[in-house]
Amino acid sequence: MMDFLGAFHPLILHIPIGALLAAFLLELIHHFRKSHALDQAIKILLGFTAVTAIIAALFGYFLSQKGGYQGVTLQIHQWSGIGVALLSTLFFLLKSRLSIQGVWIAWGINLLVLTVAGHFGGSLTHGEDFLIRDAPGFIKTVFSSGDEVITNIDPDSAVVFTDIIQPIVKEKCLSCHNDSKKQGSLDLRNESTWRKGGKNGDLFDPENIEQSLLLHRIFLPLDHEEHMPPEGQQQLIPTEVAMIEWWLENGMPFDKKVGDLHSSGRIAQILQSKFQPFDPFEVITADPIDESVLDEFRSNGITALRISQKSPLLEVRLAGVETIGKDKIDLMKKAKEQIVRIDFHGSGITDAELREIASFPNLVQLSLHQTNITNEGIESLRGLKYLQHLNVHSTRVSDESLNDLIALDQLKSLYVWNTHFSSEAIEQLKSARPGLDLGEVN
Amino acid sequence: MSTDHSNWNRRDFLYGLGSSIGAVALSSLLACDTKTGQMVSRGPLSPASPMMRAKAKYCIFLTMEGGPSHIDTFDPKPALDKYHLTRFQRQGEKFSAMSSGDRYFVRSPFSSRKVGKSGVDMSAPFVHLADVADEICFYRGCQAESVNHPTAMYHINTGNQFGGEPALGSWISYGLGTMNENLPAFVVLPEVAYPQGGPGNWSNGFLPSHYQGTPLRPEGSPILNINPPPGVSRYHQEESLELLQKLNREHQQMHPNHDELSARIENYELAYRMQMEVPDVIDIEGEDEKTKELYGVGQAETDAFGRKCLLARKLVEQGVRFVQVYSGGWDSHDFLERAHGNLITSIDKPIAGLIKDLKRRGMLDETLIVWSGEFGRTADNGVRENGVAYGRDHNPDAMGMWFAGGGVKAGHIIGATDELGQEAIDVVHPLRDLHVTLLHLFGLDDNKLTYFHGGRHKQLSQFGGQVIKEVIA
Ligand code: HEC
Repeated sequence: MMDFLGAFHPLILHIPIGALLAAFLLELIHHFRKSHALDQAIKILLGFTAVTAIIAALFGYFLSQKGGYQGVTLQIHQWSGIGVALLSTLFFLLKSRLSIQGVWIAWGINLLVLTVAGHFGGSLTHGEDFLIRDAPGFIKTVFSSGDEVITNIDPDSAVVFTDIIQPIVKEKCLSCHNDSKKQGSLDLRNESTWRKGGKNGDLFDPENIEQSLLLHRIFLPLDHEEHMPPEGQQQLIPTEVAMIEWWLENGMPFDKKVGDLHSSGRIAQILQSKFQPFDPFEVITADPIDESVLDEFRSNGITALRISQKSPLLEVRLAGVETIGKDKIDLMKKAKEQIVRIDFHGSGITDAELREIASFPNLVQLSLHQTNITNEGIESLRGLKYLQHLNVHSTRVSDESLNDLIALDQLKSLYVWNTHFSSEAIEQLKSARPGLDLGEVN
Repeated sequence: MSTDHSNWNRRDFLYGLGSSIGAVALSSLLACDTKTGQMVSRGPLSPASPMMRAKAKYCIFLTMEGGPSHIDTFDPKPALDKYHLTRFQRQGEKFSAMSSGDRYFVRSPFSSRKVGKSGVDMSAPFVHLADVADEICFYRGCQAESVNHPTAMYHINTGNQFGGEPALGSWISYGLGTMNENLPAFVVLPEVAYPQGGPGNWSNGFLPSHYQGTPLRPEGSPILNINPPPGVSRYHQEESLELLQKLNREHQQMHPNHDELSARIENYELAYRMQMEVPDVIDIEGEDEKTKELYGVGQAETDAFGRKCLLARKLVEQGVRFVQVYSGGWDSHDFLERAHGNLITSIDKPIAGLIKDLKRRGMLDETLIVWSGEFGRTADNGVRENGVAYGRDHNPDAMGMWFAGGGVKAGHIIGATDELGQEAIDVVHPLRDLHVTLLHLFGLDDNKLTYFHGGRHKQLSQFGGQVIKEVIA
């Protein structure tokens, strides 16, 4: 019932907005042409606003309980929404007692809170940048908080120049500083052209880093003729400037990794937020699973849990189950899209059964340790594009699987202790996939 | 009698508003109290989804009973060398009789060094733990409240100094159930002598009795009377259990709300199932020699704690939610070098082995290891009968601890204590914040994991707290 009512929130909420704005319009007219009738109308509209705002807030609360929304945006929307309901009600009840000045202040507050609630509501449904998504470039620049987030790279092994600086340059400078359009005789495409500098020489001056040609141009005021990028172009944002400055302070090295350079305070913070690890759970979407399916799982001895109470995604545990069998596999297929983790450890799973499981497209974690699976089973995992954690310790998996494992793009951890892998194969794995967690300490 | 219309209106409005806000709050409380969401349909120990997505699924809580010294383990204070044996006086309400009066500073008998890539501090007696330094998140900002052992033990274990409330392991089992219904959800591996405060340290408190900790004895049969006496076959047992259960159920039908009764019925069934499972799990002799050696099993100094750590791994591997492992005797008021030295040696290799073993088995990510005492220790000692004893007193203001696995920031030191280690000064949090953080690592929200008892919704932190964000990866 709550879900049903909640669904009406996006519909109902427009009523108090319209009513409040209409009342405000009448208030303006009333200001210039006093009339008792108008005053009455305003009162009625305000009362109407109050009632509908309360209903909208209540339905909104129901909707939020259904899940799918969270975070600060929801918090702000929720509280400002409740604020609208509360304030408009108070306004309606107390308006006759307010001075003229008081009335205008009350209007100001009401409209402000309404705007906040409306804006964050919009952000919830249409995304944070819904207002400026289709705006012309210059507006976007003003509003953009758009820090590029680098995923899938281990921060310590990322090369500062190629992984941090060059992407910024590519977006903000390369259009004017390339081989065909060398503004100021400066080409910023790669290391050697960087080293050449522009018509005024070297970009980097180790003696006086702050006054280096590059930083000097960046730090000039926006309206200065020589400011880079020129006025009207997409500007560097503060974190990008900080990254460039940090790189120059460290001697403008082209081959150094993030881990090689000292970083602390703000720089460390920026770096941390830049290297958000790829999170498959942010990407995988699946329909909510029917409760009856979960009941069926349960009565067939399959432990299936949601990864969090409001998520449609499931985690299955069949550890220690002697025979998995066709029935269980067929049942699990009903939640093929939703199942993201399966723990088969110590179970009787066979290669053939694993092949069927491998058709579940959203698997992120598979625990196959202490089972009888072999290289053949591993081969079938090749297509799993989200697979991040694979545990095959204490199995007969061996060197033959090497290429199949390397081919798993997203793999972050692979537990191969007590298997038939040779130490050469392990070394090969390490060099092919640096940063892969093999369960070794140090 | 007021005839003022608007006045009446306002009251009416406020009344209506008040009652409707109340209704909203109530409904959210009701929703929260179901803690386990949709998944629970069978027993109270059935596994349940976490409230939030989380890494940690299992916990191994290493309790150093008596209060290990942070200064002589993971938070070295070289400045103490300067003040060694300098006498001073301290008075004040805040200090117990124990830590006031004539006092002198005591430097650490151990040298310390930086270990691991992350360069964290460890005192010299930690030899093996240095291998896994980069897996550990050291936290120096925690503060306890009590200076007395039993109250401090109750506080860290149950969130309440007075005891009688559910232990952390009970709360987590209440929130998440167990992954293996043939084993208890919460297992305790105590010393032969129980810790100060006794079994209250693993009590289920006001939670249903299913959630109490089950101690496994360190010597002899781990669970008394788990095996049927000679001459009673499994078949006999099954028959008589069936009859017993039937009688119990009939009795229960007359007392439907009798929680202890249903727990008792459940316990008989669990005990029966445990007969099948337990002997296998607790038999560490079946482990290969190399693994036993990794934990220091078979070596005199490390055998006892090594066995418990190995057993803890086996239990977690089988799906037990929470295992608490005790090491006793850390209360070094004197003979610091010998007492702490021996104790460190006794846990060093076993814990390093545990971390290495969990890591290679791919279990460390989902197993949270906590190492903690009930409080830290002072930088000084009291003059007793005019003698000088190299030891330290109880210090709730600075309490070093560490975490590994389960989604914590590996290879970091979080927070700091002052120059002499007397008081936490950076990222300072009370114990209740630690509890909120531990629940959070398991995807549980302390404010929602509540149980209605004694007229209010009770929670582990007692009245809420903050997540210590700095320790979370
Ligand atoms: C819209 C085109 C445009 C963009 C985009 C642009 N520049 Fe320029 N840049 C110029 C022009 C035109 C000159 C030469 C005129 C001048 O010296 O001001 C120049 C000159 C420079 C010079 C001086 C070269 C020399 O030797 O005199 C530097 C350094 C520079 N740009 C850096 C940058 C950087 C860094 C960016 C990106 C953050 C950037 N520019 C983006 C147009 C652009």
